[in-house]
Amino acid sequence: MNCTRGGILASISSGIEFLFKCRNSNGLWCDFNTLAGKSVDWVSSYVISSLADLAIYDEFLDRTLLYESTKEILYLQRPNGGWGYNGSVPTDSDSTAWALLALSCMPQWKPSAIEKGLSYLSRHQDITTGGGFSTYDEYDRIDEYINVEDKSLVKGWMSSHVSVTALALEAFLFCGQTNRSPILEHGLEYLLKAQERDFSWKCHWWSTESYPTYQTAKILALCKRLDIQQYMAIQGFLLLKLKNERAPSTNDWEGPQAFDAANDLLTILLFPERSAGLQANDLLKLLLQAQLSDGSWPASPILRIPPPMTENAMNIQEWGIDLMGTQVIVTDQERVFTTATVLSALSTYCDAFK
Amino acid sequence: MTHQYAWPLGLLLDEVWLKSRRNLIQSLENESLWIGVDEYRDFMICQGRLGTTLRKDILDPVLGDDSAILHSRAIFGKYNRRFRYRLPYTLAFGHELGYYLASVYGLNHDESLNIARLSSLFNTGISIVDLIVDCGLEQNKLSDWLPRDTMVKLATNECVEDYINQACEVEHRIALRVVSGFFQMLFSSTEDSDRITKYLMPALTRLYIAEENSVGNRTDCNGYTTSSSKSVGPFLFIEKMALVTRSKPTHKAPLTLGHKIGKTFWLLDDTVDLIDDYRNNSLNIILEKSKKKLEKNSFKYEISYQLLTEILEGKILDRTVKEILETIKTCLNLIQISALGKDKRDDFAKFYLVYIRDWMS
Repeated sequence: MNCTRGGILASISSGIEFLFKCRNSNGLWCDFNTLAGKSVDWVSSYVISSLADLAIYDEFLDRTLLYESTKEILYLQRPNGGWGYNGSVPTDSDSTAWALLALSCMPQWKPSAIEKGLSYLSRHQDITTGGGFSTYDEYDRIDEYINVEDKSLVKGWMSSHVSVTALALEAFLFCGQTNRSPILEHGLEYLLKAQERDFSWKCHWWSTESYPTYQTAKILALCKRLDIQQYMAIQGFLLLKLKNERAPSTNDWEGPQAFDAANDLLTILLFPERSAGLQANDLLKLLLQAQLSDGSWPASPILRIPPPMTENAMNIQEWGIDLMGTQVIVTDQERVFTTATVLSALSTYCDAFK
Repeated sequence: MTHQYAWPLGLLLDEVWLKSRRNLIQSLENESLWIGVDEYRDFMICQGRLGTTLRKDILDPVLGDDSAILHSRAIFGKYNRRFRYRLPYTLAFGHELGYYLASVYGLNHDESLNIARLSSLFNTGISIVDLIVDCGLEQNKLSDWLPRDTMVKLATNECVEDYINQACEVEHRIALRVVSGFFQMLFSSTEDSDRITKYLMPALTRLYIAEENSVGNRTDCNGYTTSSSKSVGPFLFIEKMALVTRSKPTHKAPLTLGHKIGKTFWLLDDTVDLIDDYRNNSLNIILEKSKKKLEKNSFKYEISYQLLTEILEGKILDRTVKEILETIKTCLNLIQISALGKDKRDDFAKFYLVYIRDWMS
């Protein structure tokens, strides 16, 4: 394992190569096999957004290929302004937020697509219950899609969710809203109230706190709503978590999975000058070690699909792993989602410290 | 009484975006001034590498312990991505521009390299200040975190560290460190600091005022001056640095090339960023001119529709594109008739044209 700049760049280069080999003929990616099929729109937007952050490594990353993929995402926008998990599932605000973030990295070929996307997103903010964004609203007709007649049977999927809110706010911010716009103000308040006692954030759709904590801490910091004391508390939580993931006798890592490790590293690197350098280095080593020979990183069960009527997925103890249906946690079998996340973390580390 | 406009606002934005890009690129292509994609990519890869080296050699020492935070995903708000991506190119652009301008004005290789390093840091500093001010947040009001008298303190190295450490936002601290580092490098570049105080500080003050005036309540009458001073001023300043710090000062040399290059990127910026500037109510010369023209007529529709229609149907955008083209040709001509050797003239022209393409990406 080579932790020098050269070593990290080699790892980034083969990760990018893996991702570009995985593109389908339209230049998009798919991952997470569920009852609704594999995700294309959502996963591709996530990958584009992650790769756009690596655009500075243009020796390994052909920006014109990335432009092609982004154009495909633009074409997938539905008439209501939103994007979905894939072409057959109704639009949702998480996929829409990621699509807008992907589009915001590129020249704005079609400003009206952004306007429509933001208008779609704003419809999902629920001011009456605190400013969070729901994944679906009644006009998305997710109830019809899963063939239930009673809307209360999808109330869980139509509630406000932490990571969805964080991403929606980021989309608003990067598409031009200022930190002080009412949409952002209300959303940020919701996120601050949703913080757990241990200083992390948990989310309906994710099996661990790593991804929601990173996304939430990031938007709060970008909008100047996370001061250094609050950040240090989050970092304290992460350090404790990482310590507990070491085997007491050998001090070897028993976890975390690459996806969580990458998100934890990204959270630590939000304020690199205050970061616990040792822990960041440990996570870096872990990620470099875990890379597979094809340039990807090992996948793990990360995406949670709670029953549609369940409002608090945290109360469910039993989850099926990689089964079809709901109350399951799904692995990104194609390793695309995890690889894109790890690449983001490695490039952030490399930029800050190497 | 205003009427409802039948054409959706979003489609007008698409039309404006398309028209501005199409006019610009077609005009450049027709004059063989549009650099091919492969040539562009190869050149920018080298610029990226140069920028990474400059970051380590020039910027990191100035920032000290704050150098890592520059790459955080939590700073500069909505401009975070743009900033992180652009940083190496900002450093490289300043470096190359400084080097070529200094060479044009007769500085030898070593003197030109010195100006290149100063220009690299200056360009980065001014970009950071720009981003902070453009965020439009109350706490980012320039006079609050970088009062004019503080500029003098930073220049004279008076209690710099104490002042910088008092900055309440990390972005302010970064900007102050870069400004302070730039002044230290500038004053150490010449034994005659009076020349800097006499010729460069007033230029910096003008830039400061333009930056201050570019946000908040603007009046149409000062829009052009402010926009021009803010965007062209940094190029003029880089050119002046070359003249002031060289061993044989010729203060009266015509400041033409730097001004023209600055004008190119100013007008290009305002054409390319038309939609963003419209959305954010940012200072943009095409918007300012269109608003001014509209004021002479009565409003038939809501101002947003009227403004976009004016840009689409009026002649201001076409005239701006024409002006850009003329300015580019003038600059290329000035480069070709300069005293530089042929290879250097060609390199300068290529650098200029590649960044014109880059500005549009």
